[in-house]
Amino acid sequence: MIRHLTTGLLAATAFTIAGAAVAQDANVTGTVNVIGFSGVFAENYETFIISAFEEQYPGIDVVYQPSRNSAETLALLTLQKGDPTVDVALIDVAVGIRAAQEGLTAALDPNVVTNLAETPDWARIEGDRSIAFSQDNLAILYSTNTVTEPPTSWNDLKDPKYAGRIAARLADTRGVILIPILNKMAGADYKETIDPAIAAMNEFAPNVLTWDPAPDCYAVVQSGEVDLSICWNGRAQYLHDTQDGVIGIAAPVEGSIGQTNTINLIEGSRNAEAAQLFINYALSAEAQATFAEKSFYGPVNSTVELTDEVAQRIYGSKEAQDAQMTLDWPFIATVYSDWIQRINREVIAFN
Amino acid sequence: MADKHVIVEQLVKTYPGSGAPSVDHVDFDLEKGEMLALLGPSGCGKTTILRMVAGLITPTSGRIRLDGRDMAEIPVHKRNMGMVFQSYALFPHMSVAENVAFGLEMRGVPKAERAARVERALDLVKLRGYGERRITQLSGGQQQRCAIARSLVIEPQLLLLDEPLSNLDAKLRDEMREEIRDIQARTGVTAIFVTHDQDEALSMADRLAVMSAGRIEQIGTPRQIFDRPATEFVANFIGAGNFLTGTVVEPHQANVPGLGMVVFGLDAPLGKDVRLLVRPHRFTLNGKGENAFEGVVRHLVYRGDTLTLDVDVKDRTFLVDLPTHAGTLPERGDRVTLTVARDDVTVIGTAA
Amino acid sequence: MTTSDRKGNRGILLLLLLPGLLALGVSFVAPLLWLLRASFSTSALGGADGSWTLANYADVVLDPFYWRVAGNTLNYGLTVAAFAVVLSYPIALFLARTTSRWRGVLTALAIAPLLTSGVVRTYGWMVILGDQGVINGTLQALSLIQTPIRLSNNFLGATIAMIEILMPYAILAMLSGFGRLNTQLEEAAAMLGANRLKVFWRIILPLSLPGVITAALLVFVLAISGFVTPRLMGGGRVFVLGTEVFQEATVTLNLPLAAALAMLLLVLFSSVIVIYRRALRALEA
Ligand SMILES: Nc1ncnc2c1ncn2[C@@H]1O[C@H](COP(=O)(O)OP(=O)(O)OP(=O)(O)O)[C@@H](O)[C@H]1O
Ligand SMILES: [Mg+2]
Repeated sequence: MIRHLTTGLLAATAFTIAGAAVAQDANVTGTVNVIGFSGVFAENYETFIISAFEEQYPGIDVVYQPSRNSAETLALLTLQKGDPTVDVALIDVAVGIRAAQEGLTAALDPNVVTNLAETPDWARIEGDRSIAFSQDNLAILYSTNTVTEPPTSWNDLKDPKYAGRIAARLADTRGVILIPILNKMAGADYKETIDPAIAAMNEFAPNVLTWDPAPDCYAVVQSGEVDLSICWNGRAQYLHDTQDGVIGIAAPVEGSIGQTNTINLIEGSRNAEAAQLFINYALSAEAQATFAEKSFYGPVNSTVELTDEVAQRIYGSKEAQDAQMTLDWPFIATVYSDWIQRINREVIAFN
Repeated sequence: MADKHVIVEQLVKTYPGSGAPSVDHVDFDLEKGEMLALLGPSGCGKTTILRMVAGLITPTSGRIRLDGRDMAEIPVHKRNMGMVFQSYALFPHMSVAENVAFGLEMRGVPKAERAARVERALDLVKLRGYGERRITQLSGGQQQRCAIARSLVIEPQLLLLDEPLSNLDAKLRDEMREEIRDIQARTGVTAIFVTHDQDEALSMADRLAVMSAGRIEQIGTPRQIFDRPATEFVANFIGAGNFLTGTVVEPHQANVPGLGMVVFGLDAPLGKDVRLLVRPHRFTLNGKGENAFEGVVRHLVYRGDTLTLDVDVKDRTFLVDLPTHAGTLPERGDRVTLTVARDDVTVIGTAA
Repeated sequence: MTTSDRKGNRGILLLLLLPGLLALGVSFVAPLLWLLRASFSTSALGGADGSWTLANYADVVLDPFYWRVAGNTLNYGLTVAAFAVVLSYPIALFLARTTSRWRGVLTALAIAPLLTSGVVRTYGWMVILGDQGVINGTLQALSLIQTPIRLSNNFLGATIAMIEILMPYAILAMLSGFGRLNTQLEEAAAMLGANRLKVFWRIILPLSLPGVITAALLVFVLAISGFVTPRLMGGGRVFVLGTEVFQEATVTLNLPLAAALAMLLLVLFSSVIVIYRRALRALEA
C-alpha cells in the first residue's frame, strides 16, 4: 500500500532528519546531470523538484536533459558505460531493472540517501540500484461529450454499448500492467498464470476500434474518435485541466497499478555525492507530495500524506484507493516481452 | 476525273494555334499504279498532306477520295493504306516476321496463310531468313525494307512513304531507290512519297508535285517540271539555272536589258515582260547560233564528268556546265562565246 | 585513345565516385553489416552483446506467427503494388502521351503529394476513412448507413492509405520506364488496321511494361518496408514485418530479434529483385 497516514510525530522526525542532512551537506558543490522523461513531466520536475533542491543546496547545479523514452536513455547509458556524462537517470522500472542488472547503475548509500528508510521494499530494486519514486496509474479515460455514465469498473470495457468505441494500446507496458489487474479480478496469481487476463482481454476485444491509437491514447478521446481509452492518469489529469475537461478519468473500483518510474545513480558518476543528495531529495516526502499534487503521479515515500482531493485524482474513490496494487517488478521484467507477445498473438492478432 | 484512283481536292490544314495554314488548298490526283512524289523544302507541308491522306490527322477542309469513296468518315485503321515512316516505326518488341505479320493479324488472316504471305513479303524485300531476328539486329537498310514489307503485305490500296530514304547513307540510298521503284513496279501499288531530295523525286516518281509554303507550285512529270518550270521557285528548287528578265518585242524574241536580244522557242505574248531560264548544261562553247554571248571565264570547278564555269558576260555572270569530253577545255581568264539553242531557253510560267 | 589514357580516366572516375561510395558505405553498408552481426547475437542492454548464436533466426523460423506475419507482409505488398500500379497507369500513360502545354504542370501536380510527408498524408486518410470521417459522415448524413463502415484501423485502411501514398512513386517510375512508348508506333499499328483497343493491347501495353514492372517493384518494396502507415492506419491489427521490427526494437527492446526480422525482410526484397530482373530481361530479350 502506498498511501500511509503518518502521525504528526513521524512527520516531524522525518523533517528533523532531513534538516540535519541539509546542515551537514550544505557545502557540497558540483553539477548533477539528470536525464529523464520529456514533456509535462520535465516541466513539472524542473519547476517543483529541481528548483526546490537547488534552493536548499546552493552549491549544486542540476541540469535536466529530457529524453524521448527510456529505451533511448538506456542506449545512451550503455554507450557511455564506464565514462558517463549523466549522473542520474529517471527511467521506467522495466528499463531500470535491466540497467541495474547490467551494472549500469550504482547502489545508493543509505547513510547519504536517508530517505530510503521511508521507501517501501518493493520500490528498492536490485539492492538499491534502482529506486521507484513515482507511479502513474493506468486508468480508463472517457469522453465527457459522449459518455453520460462514466465507467466505474474494468468490466465496463466489455459493455456492448462501446462496440467500436474503445482505444486500447496494450502491446506495451499498458498491457503488461492490465494483466495483473484483470488476473486479480479473476482471482488468479499473475506469477502462476495469465490465462484469465488474456481471456478477459478477449472479452472486450470486440469493442476495440484501435489497438494502436494515433497520435496517442489521449487525443482520440479528445477528438471524439472513441468513447473510452486505456491510458495513464497523470497526463490525462493534466489534459482534463487544460483542454476544457473533454477528457474524463475513471479509476475503476477494482483498483489499478502505476507505471513506475525509477531514479538511478549512474555507475561511475563523477558527482556521486551531489547526485545522491539530489536523489535523497527526490525521494523525500516533501518532494513526492509536491509532485503528486502538481502532476498527479502517485508518491512512493510511505510517509507522504495526500489531501483527499489529490488522492482522489490519483487513485480514485476510497474503494479504489484501498484496492491499489503494486507489482514485483523484477519478476515482471522477466516476463515483460512474453506477456506482450501473448497479448499480440492471442488478443490483438485475432481482433 | 471521278475515275481516278486517288483524288485530293482543296485540302487545307491549319494547325490549332498557328495562324497560316500549313497546307493551303491542295489538289492532286493519282492513277492506279502511279507514283507521285511530294517535293519541297522543309516545313512546306508534305508530311501534313500525307498524314491527312492516311487519316492520322483531320483536314481543316477539303476532300480525299479513294476509288470514289470519301475518306472523311473512315478511321485510320479501316483505310487500308500502307505507310512507311521516316523513322520506320517498327515495333521493337516484335521480331521481323511478327512486324510484317501484324497487319495480317489485324485483318484476321488465318495463321498458315499469314506465314506464307509474310514469307513472300520478306522475299520481295530480300529479307528471306531474317524473320526471327529482333528489329535491333537489323541494319538501317534492312529495317527500311522490313518497314516496306510490313506496309506492302496487307496489299494496301495506297502506299504512303514519308522520306523513307533520309536515314540511309548515299550508296544505300541509291540502291533502295532502285529497289522501291522495282517493288512498286512489280506490285503495281499506287504510292505517294515525300522527299526533299530532287534527285530522288526525279528518278523515282511518275509525277512530281513541288510544294512551297503549303501550296503546290507545280505538278507534272519529271521532264515537265525540269524543262518547263511553272514558277521561278520550281526552276530554282529543281536544278540550277540562269534567269533573265526581258520584254517580248517580237514573237520568240525578248530584249534583255544589258544583254541584248534573246531568242526562245515558246510562245509568249508581245509587249509582256518574261522570265527566261537557261539550264547551265544547255550552253555550248564557241558554237554558232542565235543566242551567242561573249564573256570571260572567271572561275572554274572540275567535277569529273562536268566542268562548272562562272562566265562574266557584260555585267552579269552565267553559270555553265560543260561535258569534260568536249575537246579542249577553257581555262581561267579565257575569252569564250556561249551559245544556246532557242529551244533550250525556257519561258517560266508557260507550262506545257 | 591509348591504354594509359583509359587508365587515367578510370582513376578520375573512381575519384568522382569516391564521395558517393563513402557516403553509401557509412550510411548504408556499415549499418547493414552491424545489423547482420546483431542478428547473430544475444539481446543485451541497449543492443546486442558480442556472442554468436542462431537463436534469433531459430526463433523467427520456428515460430508460425512470424510465417503468418511474413505472409501478411507479402500480401500487403502485393495488394498495394497491384492497386497502386493499376491506378497510376492511366495517369502516367496520359502524362507520357499528352502533347498539352500543361503537361509539365500536370506532371508536377501528379507527384506533388511527395512534397508532404507520408505521415501527414496518413493522418489525412484517417480523417477521410475514420468512423466519423468524411466518407462515413457523408453516408450517414445521406442515411445510407446507420453504423459506420469500418474503413480504417484495419488492413483495408492501411492498404488504401499506402496505395495513395505510393502512387506518386509509381507514376514517376512509370514515366521513367515509358521510354519505348512512341506515338509513331501507335500510328503505324493503326495504319496496319489495329483499332484503339488493339493498339493498346499489342503496342502500348507491351512497350510500357518495363515501366509498369519497375513501378510495381518500387511500390512493393516501399510497401513491405513501411511501418508508419500500417501502424497508424492499421489500428494495431496489421502485423507486417515493418511493424514487428519496430515493436521488437522499441517496445520489447530485443534488438537482435528485430535485426533477424529485418534480415528476413531483406531476403524478401532480394528475391523480389531477382524476379524483377528476370522479368525485365525476358521482356527486353
Ligand atoms: N502538330 C503540329 N502542330 C502545329 N504545327 C505543325 C504541326 N505539325 C506540323 N506543323 C507545322 O506545319 C508546317 C508543315 O509541317 P510538315 O511536317 O508537314 O512539313 P514537311 O514538309 O513534312 O517538312 P520536313 O521536310 O521538314 O519534314 C510546318 O510549319 C510545321 O511547323
Ligand atoms: Mg516531314
